[in-house]
Parts: sequence; C-alpha cells; structure tokens
Amino acid sequence: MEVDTQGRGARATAASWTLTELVTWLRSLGDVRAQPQALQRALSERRVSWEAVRPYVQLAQEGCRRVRVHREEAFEVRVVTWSAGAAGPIQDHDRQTTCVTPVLGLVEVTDWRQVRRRNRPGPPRLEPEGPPRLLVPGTVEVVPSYSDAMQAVRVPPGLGMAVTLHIEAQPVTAVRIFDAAHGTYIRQPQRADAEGPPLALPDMPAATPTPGEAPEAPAPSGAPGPKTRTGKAAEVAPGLPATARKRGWLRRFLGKADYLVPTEGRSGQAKLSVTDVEHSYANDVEALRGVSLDVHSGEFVCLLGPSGCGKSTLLYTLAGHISPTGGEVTLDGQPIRGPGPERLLMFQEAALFPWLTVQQNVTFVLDRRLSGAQRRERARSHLRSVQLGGFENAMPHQLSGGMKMRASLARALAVDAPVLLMDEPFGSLDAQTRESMHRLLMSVWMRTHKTIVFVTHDVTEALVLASRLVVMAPRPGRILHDVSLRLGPGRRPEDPALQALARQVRGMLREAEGAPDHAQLDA
Amino acid sequence: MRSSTPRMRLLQRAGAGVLFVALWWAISHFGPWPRFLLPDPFEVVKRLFGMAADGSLWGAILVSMWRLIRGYGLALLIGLPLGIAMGQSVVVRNAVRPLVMGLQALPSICWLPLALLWFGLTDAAIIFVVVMGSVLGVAISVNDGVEGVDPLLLKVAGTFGIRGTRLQLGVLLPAAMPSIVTGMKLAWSFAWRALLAGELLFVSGGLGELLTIGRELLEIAQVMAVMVCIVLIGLAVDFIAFRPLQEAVRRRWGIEGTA
Repeated sequence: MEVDTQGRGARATAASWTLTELVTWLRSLGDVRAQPQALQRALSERRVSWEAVRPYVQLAQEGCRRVRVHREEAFEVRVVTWSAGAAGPIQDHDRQTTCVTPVLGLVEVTDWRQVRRRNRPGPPRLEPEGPPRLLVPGTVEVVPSYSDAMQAVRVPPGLGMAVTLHIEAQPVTAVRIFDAAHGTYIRQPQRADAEGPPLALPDMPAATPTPGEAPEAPAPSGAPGPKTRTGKAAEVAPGLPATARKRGWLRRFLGKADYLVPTEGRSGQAKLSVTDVEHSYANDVEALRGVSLDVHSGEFVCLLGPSGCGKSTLLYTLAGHISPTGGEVTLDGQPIRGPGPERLLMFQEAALFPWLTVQQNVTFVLDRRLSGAQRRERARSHLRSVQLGGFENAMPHQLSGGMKMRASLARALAVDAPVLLMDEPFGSLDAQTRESMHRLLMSVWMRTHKTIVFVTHDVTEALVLASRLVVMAPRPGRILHDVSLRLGPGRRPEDPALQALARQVRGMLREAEGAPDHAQLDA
Repeated sequence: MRSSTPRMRLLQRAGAGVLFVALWWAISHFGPWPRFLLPDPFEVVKRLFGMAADGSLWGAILVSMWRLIRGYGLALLIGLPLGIAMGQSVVVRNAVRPLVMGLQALPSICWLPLALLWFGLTDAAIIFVVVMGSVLGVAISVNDGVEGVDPLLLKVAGTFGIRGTRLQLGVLLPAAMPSIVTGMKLAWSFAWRALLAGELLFVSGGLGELLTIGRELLEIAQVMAVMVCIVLIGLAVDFIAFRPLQEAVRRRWGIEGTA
C-alpha cells in the first residue's frame, strides 16, 4: 500500500523511465518471474521514453531487429524494432513472465492456444484465441509465467514501423516456436541479439529501491557511474543525441530518400543461390548469361523484365524443370536436381486436375503419409483461407478464373513448401481479381514468411508485391538491377508514391530493352 | 446449318425408319428375288419374336455376350498398361508402336486359323480372336490419350513430386480418360465384329451359330432376324454403356460447357 502511494508520487515527478532506471528497478525486484503485477503497474504508470530507447533502435528492411539493452541472471531487457508489416512467429513464452510495451507505433498481440483433436493422432493444431489486442505506447502486455497460451506479435497490416520494449524474466537462451508445417514445436536457440550500447549501471544492485525511489536512487545516468562497462555508455545519456543516427532514421521514414535502394549483400546462407548460371536452348538462343542471385529466406523477389529476358528460364531453373548449361543453382546449399515439392512452381494457369473436385485437387498432392482425414482437414482449412469454403465439392470447370487461381494457390500452400516460385500466376486475370489475389498473396506471405520468387512483366504488380526487384535484360538474359523496396505492405497501385516508383522502374525497363552491352551495365 | 428441335429430330428419324421398312417391304414383294430369299420385315420381326419366345435367342445372346465380356475385358487389361507404357517409355514406344500399328491393319478374323490350331474348337479360340481384334485398338487409343495429356498437368505433377504409379494411375490415366473412352468404344465394335466372325466359322452356340443354322436351313427370316438382333445389341450397348460413360466423363472433366 505504501509502495503504491510512493509510486504515484514518483509518476508526478518523473513521467518516464530511463533504461538505467528501469534496470535498476528490475534488479530491486529480485525474482522478476513472480511479480507480473509489479511489472504491469510499474510500466503502465511510467513509460519508457522514445529518447531512452533510441540508441537501441535498428531498423531492418523487413522483419524485426532485436537489440539487447541489458542482460543478467534474473532478467533481460530488449528493444525490438519492427519494420512495417513485420510479424514475429507464434512463440511459447516458455513459462517466463514476459512483458511487452510499445514505445513507438502500434503492435498487435494475438493469443494462440493449442487444440488437441480428440481421438485423433497427429500433430496438434493452433487456433487464435480471442481477437488480437492492439498495444499502443502506454499499454503493457504482461504474460505471467503460469499462462500456457502462446503469443504472436506483429505490426498490423498497413501500419508503419514500431518499437517495442521487452522484459523477460531470466535471460532467454532458446525459444519454442510453433512450426505450422509440422505441427510441432521446434526449440531453437535464441537468435543472437544485436548488442546495443551498454547501460551505465552500478556493477551490483546496491540497494533495493522501490519504484518510487528509483528516480532518486539510480546511478547517475549521464556521468559515468562508479564502474561503467565502457566509456560509450555516455551515449545513452540524454543531452547527447545521436545526431547522425537520427538523420539516417528520419531520412528513411520521411521518404526523403529513395524507396528503391540497391540490394545489399546479406550474410548467412541464402535460401536459393544462383551462381554464374548460363543457359542456352537447343536453338542457340542464349537465355541466361552470367546470372548470379542470392535469395534469402522470407524474401519476396520479383523478377521483372521484357519478354525474352530469361526471367522464366531463371525461374524454371530454380524449379528444376530446366537444368542450366552452366553454373550452379542451390537450395539451402544443396544443388538443385529436378523439380521437388519443397520448391513449388505455380503456373500462369491454375492447372487444376480437371477430373478432381476442388478439395480432391488439394488432397491429391498432399503427403501420402498423412491419413485421409488429415488430408481432408488440411485441404478444407487451406480452401477456407483463400475464401473457397463451400466450394470443396465443385469441379474446377465450374469455377471462375479467379476462383481457379485461388484453388491453385490453396493447393500450393497446403503442401507448405518453404519456397514458392510463381510464373506470372495472375497474368490472365482481370484487374479486379488480380488485385484481390495480390492482397491474398501478401497476407499469405506475411503470415507464413515463405520465400517467394515471382516472375512478372507488370511493373505495378511487382511494386505492389515485392520486397526486392530484380530487373533483367534480354539478349543475352542477365540481371540489370537488383533493388530492395522500402515500402510497407498494404500498398495500393493507385498510390501516387507507387506510381512515381513505377515510372522509375519503367525507366529501368526501357534501359533493359535498349541495353546494348553486357559489360557496361555491371556497375 | 439450322439446329433442329428434339421433336423435329424425332420426326425425321421416324420418317427415315418408315421409309426404310417400306422400301424393304416393296423389294421383298416386287424385287428380283423370291420371297423365301428376301422375307418382308414383318416376317422377320415375327421370327425374332418367335425365337425370343422359345428361348433360343436369349441363350445365344448370353453365350455370345459372355465370350465378348471375357475377350473384351482381357483386351482392356492388356491394352491399358501397354498404351500407358508406350506413352511413358520411349524405348517401349519405339519398339512396340510399329508392331502394334502393323498388326492393327490385320483383320482380326485372320487370327482364327492360328487360334483353331492353338486352342482347338473351344471358347478360348474365339476369345483369342476377340482379344486380338480389340487389344491393339485399346493400346493405341490409350497411347494417343496419354501423349495428348496437357504437358502443364505433368509439370504440375512433377512440381508436387508425384511420380511412379501415382503419376500413372492418378494423373496420366484420368487425364487421358476422355480419349481412352472413345478408344474403348471403338475397340468394343472391333471386338463385337471379331466375335461374330469367329462364331460364324464354327459351330459354337452363340449368335453366329443361329446365323449359320439359318443359312443352312434356308431360313432366311431367321438369318435376318439375327442380323437385326445384332444391330439392336450394338445400338443398345452404345446407348446403355458407352454414351452415358462418355457423357459422364465429359461432364466431370468439364469438356463441354456444362456449368
């Protein structure tokens, strides 16, 4: 009771935590796991300010970037920067008390619960429990250690980036992630967080201050404490704004800079890797010359170019339907030999089996190891996800073009290949159907984070969908430009910004058409 | 060309039938042949009913149909895999296709002397002739059907990792089904002809025997009644078995615009 009063009093004097204050207070809590209410109260009464977390904000082009603020035996504090449209996996909190609060922007938290199907063997299924909760700065989501729900955090579609502060009781060494593909949990080591500038903290929790005492008690945040870890700690201090950082950040978000930036090389193994690939057809047409391309997991790459630039040849090479006359193509480091269900190719036409019903079309291609009931269940849920519920028993020829394509997409998604290769799949659809297919595909991509390589000659389509554009040129087929798109999801073809980009990309295409020589373009 | 209404079509058909019967009646009464060599339609129909009443016709039909079913079934069992193998494997295709095409040109009745020597005067000999008459037709139509399968569907099957028997039975066969059904229909008429030719050549207890007996006893009404019966069976099988089958396949495969 007394503590509470003091807390209120403290809010009146200092409305926000610095991270140093926060960590000092967490230290004072002792067993953080056992005190979810304290966390909830402390963080809803005093917010962590944007100024405080700014040094830890690292924006990724996509997905989220975690930066560790502080870690010790009893707890860990992280700042996570979510790019527009980023979505975290469904994650078990592993009996931790965890606490999430946005500092900037909005995030959405959805509870998921495992549903065991009665009397049915096989993997459990996850179902969202209740509507998603929207977190805004000032709201605090605390998941106590006794809750057995899983959570997924994401930026709601159509909204921009967000920055969240996470507190986990006990440092997290491994996370349990629900693997929708296999219906099981995978326990994977926590991805190493980036290290932010260390906090200026006294080496040992000197006292056990209550929340109310925190502002008075902590180590001086600006001046170096008795034993700061490095001199850099001063960066955290207010009054020393990281000006350069701020400028770069502003440029990105105020749109002063390009939305299209040359794709930077990424470390780590590429999902799909094309190295110096050449391909000539039997009639001596040189379809590809010296093509190298690394596609990383979760990227949405559009291959764009005039006809005859070898974009389809490149796609079919990735699919394994064409073995190139030179160079190497690998998936996860393994050479690709022949087509395989882990790299699903979708064609310009829906290509449903005409003698099977819509549902049978899906069940037919599923793994034979699943039981008939499991296959049907899976087919139905995927058909529902493309809004074809109720058409399970229709024949393909009874469907409209868009519905056929959706059925084809459901079929492709049901096998849950990590890589989707799409050869102008929406080329034959009318504009409206096409737009709805784009929205559908985007929602699938954001939900599943599949790696998608998408061939198109439609600039707008590429700009609406892609996270990365690869512009190719003909005679011989080669890569002319490789640019990343810094645009969030929910893009609309009629956006003026997008139209401006389209002009820019059309310029690249004209260059591709007229590009005379190979050598001069490699810059 | 103007499309006719169903009623008009029925009228036209009935008119042609009446005209045909009238012409037959006129020729048998006023033609160059004596009446006993060309009985008029009514005598033939009377005879047909007579044979149906005393049971001899039904027995003969049963015997013939049983042979046909066995022979035709065997032809399908051999012809379907052979056709798929020809469509799937270049080796099999190159080796077997010329042979199949050559033998297809041979009228099936030419196999009868061999069949008689190999199997004797038994059902097996006739079934052999029936099989030889229809198996190649089945194989060729299945082969054509498999080769005509939309390559896109094969690519789709490939990308989903569907291979082996699952590809053959689950994709190739159903994809080729419309042309296989057409081939089966054609093969059935070959088999039917081969059967009657075989039955005509030796006493056997089928429809062919009735025909031979009629000729030997100069019972031309019986000969013509059996001929009518053969035509009717042919039409009936077409109407009862193949038309609905073809229609079902076309509807399921969505070949006609049946929305």
